[in-house]
Amino acid sequence: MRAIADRPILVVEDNDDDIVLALRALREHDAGHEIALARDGVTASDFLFGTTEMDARPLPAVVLLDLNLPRVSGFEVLQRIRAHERTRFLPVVVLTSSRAEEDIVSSYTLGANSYVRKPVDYEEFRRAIAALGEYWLALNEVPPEDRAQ
Amino acid sequence: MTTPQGAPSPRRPAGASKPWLGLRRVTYVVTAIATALTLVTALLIRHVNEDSERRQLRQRTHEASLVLESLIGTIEGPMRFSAQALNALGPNEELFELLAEPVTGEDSLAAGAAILQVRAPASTTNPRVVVRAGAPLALTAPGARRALGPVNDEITLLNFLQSSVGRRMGVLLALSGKADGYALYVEMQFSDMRLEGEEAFSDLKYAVYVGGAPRSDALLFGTAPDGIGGKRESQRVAVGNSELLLVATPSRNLNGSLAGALPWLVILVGVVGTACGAAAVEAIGRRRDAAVKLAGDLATRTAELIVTQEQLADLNASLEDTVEDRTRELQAANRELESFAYAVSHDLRAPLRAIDGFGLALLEDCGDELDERGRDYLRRVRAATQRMGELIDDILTLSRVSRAEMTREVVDLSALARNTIARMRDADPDRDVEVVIEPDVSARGDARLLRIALDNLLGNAWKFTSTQSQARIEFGCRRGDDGPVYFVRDNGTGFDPRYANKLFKPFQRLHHDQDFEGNGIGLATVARVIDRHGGRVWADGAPGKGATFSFTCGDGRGGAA
Repeated sequence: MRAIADRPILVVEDNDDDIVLALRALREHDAGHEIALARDGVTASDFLFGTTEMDARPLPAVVLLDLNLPRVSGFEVLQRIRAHERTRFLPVVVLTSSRAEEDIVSSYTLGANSYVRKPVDYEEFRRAIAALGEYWLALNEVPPEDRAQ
Repeated sequence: MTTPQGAPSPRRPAGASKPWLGLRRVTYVVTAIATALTLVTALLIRHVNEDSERRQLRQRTHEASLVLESLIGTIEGPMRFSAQALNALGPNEELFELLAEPVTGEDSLAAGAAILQVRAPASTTNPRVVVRAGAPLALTAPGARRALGPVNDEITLLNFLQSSVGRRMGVLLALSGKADGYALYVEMQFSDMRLEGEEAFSDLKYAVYVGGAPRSDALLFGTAPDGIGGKRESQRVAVGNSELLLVATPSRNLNGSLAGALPWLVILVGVVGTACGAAAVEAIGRRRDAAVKLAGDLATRTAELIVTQEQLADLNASLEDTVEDRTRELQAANRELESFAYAVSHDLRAPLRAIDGFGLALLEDCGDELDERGRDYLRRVRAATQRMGELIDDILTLSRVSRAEMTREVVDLSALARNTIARMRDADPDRDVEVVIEPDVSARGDARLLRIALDNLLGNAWKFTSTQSQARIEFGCRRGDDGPVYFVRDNGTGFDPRYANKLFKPFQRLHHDQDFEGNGIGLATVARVIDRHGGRVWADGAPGKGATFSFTCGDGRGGAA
């Protein structure tokens, strides 16, 4: 069983600025975790499920998922994660600009573990990222990967 | 013989064109107005309630009477009736029955009588009006009997009153006779029509006397069963030397061969009381042609009325369609607005986040390379982006408040106020504010919207008391003229009452940014929430004297959903 500390964090985000800022905040908070980046839903799916059976990678400790993605939307990614045997318990935090009620409801309906709105204020954003890291990487217990499968 | 559209009776003597010159035995016209006239108007608007049905009937009666008045009014010459001996006809028991006082006389008093029977169409698919006269009957002295000619000579079917879809609604008759005068007894038998649960509509009788007679007051009579649609309304209208009696019997629930339960209006018209003793019998109206034309006009007007009625129904239907279309368009526009709001919330905030984030990154990572002025600029950039972020949020809230679906329930405003205050205390722990919240204040309304309103009002109070050393905020409820008035009172900076009306308009601010932050959307949002509840919101205050914002919450009926 791979320790949670060894697992990467998967950031699914298409906005370059947000990527840089999120990575900056993540790095400040926690330098230990590998950070994997997917710029759209297809890449995220490939990362999680692999394009073939062979190249599946270790599951991330947590997925930070934007909703507004090109090609395959965040909702669809979430749906696939929950539908897939291997990833159905994977912690997914929706991290998005939207505060629209329907987005929040849809996210939870599809099985998101948390919903965080990206604040405009970078300092708040940084606090949010820090809190997420603190919670999902340190406090939260996840089922062992082999059991989840 | 029934000739269509008022064509002259072919057997009419040639002298008939100057009937008022020949005193006797001149063919004269008993015009359509003297004919019992039945205007049977089907009111075609469905879904009329009883009241409006009645109103329309009354209106229709009135219109029809105006038409008839004008019709009579245009007849040239006085209406005079001869006292000359009439040809006696055979006794007519029914007619006698109808006469208030049987007419007897030593003179050559006589009356011509014709009985018309207007039979309602046996079926709507084959409408047919049968007009026939009963046997001429003597009223008085035997020997004075004067038979009318074959009925076909006497009666002209001028017109059918028909609706635009061709349904025959009634008949208009012109009668001509060879007698000097006769009583005309018109019986309309609508034998196929039955009133639901009421008296049969089979025996509507009406008699009109248009001949000379010694007793004018006995000359007009009529029976229209009271059972027809209930109340019978009659009205006497003076026309020239005569009177016109209009009897309108609105009837409803008429069921029978005419399919459906249609409301009907029956108007019977007769000429009442005539100048007796005149030497000559003159026709009502100078010429038969004129009468025919007038009668035709009447028929046209009546038909127009019916058409108008139907057009009105069509118009109503198309109006409903239009409303539906507009509603659909509005809903589409609303959806568009919603997706726009979504885009604003999502796309407009992303660049702001980048501006703020990189501004801070610049300050943190490269701050040493900037002088104090440069760092000040960067801080201003960040402050501005944050304000813009709040502005976007507030505009979104305002638009959400306008569009959100409303549900009304009992809302504990005191609890909402306590929550709001608690949150503000958490966010601003250094402030020392005395807060008084009246317990158990509740209102009927939408909980989420009312929370937004209270958040804004209490937030304002919190903000504008920030310069007070002993800040005090009060929430409560008092009895107003039309129900409870809720209020949020503070002892803050107050405002100039001259600008009170501007307070609730979006982007209107009464204070400078450097004194109090804000974008002027909060109170506009409050106003929108209260407006949607059908309530009122207003502000009282003076500079330095604090402010009180009051609102009502409607009566539970107001406010669009």
